Amino acid sequence: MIFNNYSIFICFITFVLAYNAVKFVSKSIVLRNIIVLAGNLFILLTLVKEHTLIVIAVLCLLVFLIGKVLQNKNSRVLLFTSLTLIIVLFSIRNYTYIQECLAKGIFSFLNAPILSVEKLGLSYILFRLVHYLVESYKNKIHKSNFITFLNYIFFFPSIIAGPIDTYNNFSFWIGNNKLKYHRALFFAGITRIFMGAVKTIGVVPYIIHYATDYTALTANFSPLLAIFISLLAYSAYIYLDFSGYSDIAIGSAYLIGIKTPENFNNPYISQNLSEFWKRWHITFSMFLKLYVFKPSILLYNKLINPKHRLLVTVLCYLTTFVICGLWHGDKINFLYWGLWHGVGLAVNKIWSVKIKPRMPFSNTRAYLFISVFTTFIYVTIGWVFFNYSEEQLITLYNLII
Amino acid sequence: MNLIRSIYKTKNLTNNGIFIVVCGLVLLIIGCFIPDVKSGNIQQQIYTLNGFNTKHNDPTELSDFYQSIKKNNGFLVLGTSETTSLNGGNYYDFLNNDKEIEGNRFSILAGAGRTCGIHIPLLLHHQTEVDSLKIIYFINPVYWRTDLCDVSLEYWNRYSNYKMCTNFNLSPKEEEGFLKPIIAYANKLNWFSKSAQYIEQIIRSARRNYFHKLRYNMYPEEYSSQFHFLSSTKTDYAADKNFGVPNMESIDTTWNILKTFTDKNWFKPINKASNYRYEELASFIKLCKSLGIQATFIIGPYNKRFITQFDPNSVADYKSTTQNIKQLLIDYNADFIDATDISLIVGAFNDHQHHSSYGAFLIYHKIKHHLYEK
Repeated sequence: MIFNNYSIFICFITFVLAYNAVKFVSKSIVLRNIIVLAGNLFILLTLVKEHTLIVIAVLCLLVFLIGKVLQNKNSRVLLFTSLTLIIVLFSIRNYTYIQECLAKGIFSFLNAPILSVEKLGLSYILFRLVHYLVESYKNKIHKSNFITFLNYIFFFPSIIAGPIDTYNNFSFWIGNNKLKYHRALFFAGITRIFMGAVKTIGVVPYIIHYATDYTALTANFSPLLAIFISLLAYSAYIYLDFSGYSDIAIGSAYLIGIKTPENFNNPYISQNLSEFWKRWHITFSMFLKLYVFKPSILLYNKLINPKHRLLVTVLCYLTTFVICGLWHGDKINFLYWGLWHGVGLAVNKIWSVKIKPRMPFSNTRAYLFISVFTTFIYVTIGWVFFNYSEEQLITLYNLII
Repeated sequence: MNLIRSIYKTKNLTNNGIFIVVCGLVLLIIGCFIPDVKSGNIQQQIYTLNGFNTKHNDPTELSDFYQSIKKNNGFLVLGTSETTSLNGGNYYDFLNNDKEIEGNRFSILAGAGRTCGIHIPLLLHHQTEVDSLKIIYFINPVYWRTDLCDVSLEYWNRYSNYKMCTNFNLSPKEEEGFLKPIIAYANKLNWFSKSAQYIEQIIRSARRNYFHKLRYNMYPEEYSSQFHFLSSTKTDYAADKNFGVPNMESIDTTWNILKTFTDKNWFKPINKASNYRYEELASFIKLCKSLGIQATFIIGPYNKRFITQFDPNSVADYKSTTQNIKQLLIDYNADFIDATDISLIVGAFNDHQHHSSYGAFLIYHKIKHHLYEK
């Protein structure tokens, strides 16, 4: 959530006060849902036009109805058709390459209406829609109603950059009537917002300059060292900024009694890349694991002899992280970043299966320290693909070589 | 790691949250008792003020700004985008660095869309300080055109705020005379924007207790370092070979604009139906007279060659508008300088609505003649 102007701040304060007052006097979940929906829409309207919210709401209605059908009738065809459709729609909106291709073909008429929808956490909305459809198909959605579903999609604290909640968790907390716990969460939320503000306002502005542009350091250091120090600063910057943002989002959700899942758990102390992804952007990693990695295993198991389990896992890592890279943006550098992590995870898997068991000192403190250090450096180097465009990467390459 | 884990436990987060709320409230209350910084200690003339100081009507900074101009027998130049900085110098740069002009220096408050009405709330809130202040206000006729002829929320919100536009304690007659532009602005704001601006001011004033009052009470020497003072030395503009001559190489003489200016479609004709700008100017003149401000108005030039090329039918409207402005100034017995004869001079404009440094040179001569040689 971004308090980038006073209008949003006032909407937020009014909404939190109104919601808590209603929760204090009434146990009606419908009323609570209506207030949350009004608050969500009111706040989002300070960021985008009505048109965008109406289009997304209509899409939500369709997904909700399809979800209802899937809950009653396990139709794989319906699931795949609906998933394909929404992924195609979101891809057209988010990727300029697809838009350019469409503009040349017979489907050029699709571009204008899709592009008229403003970009407001669309990638995260896509995740939530996919989650709802798949979980409906698996019959794991306990109770669903449309207003809760709309609130789940439009939930303003986490709409722009997560955390990505599950529908069941969101629905549980919005219906939770334990006032005592709600009060505790309210004050916990204030602490989380404070912690997030310290990270994003108190620390990030001091390092962002060095983190995003290595040339700020070239006056005092050699180009190679400047790039490396800049990358270390970028590691700190991206963690503090993103986790600070998550703190604010989680804290804001706490203020209205919704316990949104955690998104970070000290990622830079991970002993390997696999652990890193269990600690970094946790809700996103879980999504990738559930909806990309696991289905990929099923698919590759059908295509490749099950004897080659290690090969299947390696291919699944690569597939998952290519998708992960593409999800982050339509620039080629994000694909490189995804591949960097995919390859790293594949190597880590081979290491842990084939080499580590034979190593005599794999349980020592020294090994632990080296593992944490190596993982951190690997992740840090990987940020170069995240931060710099392809042209800048070529310049960096020439500079280093 | 255990420490970090314990911080994130809901119970600890809750206890810390209560502590933060209590501390916040205590800080808010204590802040109200911190005394404001005393103004009046600034001797040197302040050149210009930070936009935030004027937008939020910071009392000490504005008081010191106006008083520093008066103490130095200076002028306050008000204007819109044409009065902002210009390559080669603007008219107030030439005035400030003219060695023949002794004593008087020229401070600036200018910006795109910063028309005279936007200054009214500030002047009303600083009536004592602006008494006998000398002001030069540059009237750019482009503000009578179709897209600028009415009150602009964008510009008002940029330079002013709704809270500043309230609580003047004026008689109904004074309100009728001075507040028309402010009422027009307030009528355009919805309740949400009004409350948002009110809350913004409340938050800012709470922050100001610590980031301004406490800070400058503890370190008084830091207070004056926030200002941009007029330099005591003068730049010799006349030594520059381009001083006072149009740069003919860079000018498209047919359109009388820089060759690099390509957005000709930005031009708009005059809106003859709207009276807002006349009313705004009249309110400002009346207020200046009422507050004892010695105001001199400059009727700025319009790029007649450009308009003749782009839309010949509009030339008459621009001409009649400047004549109306002149008549209004005469009716209110205001002191003014007519610079509209610059409208046809080749090289006097950078684009369709802004004079060039050469145009500024011509305006500077007119001001100098009006103030010192008459």
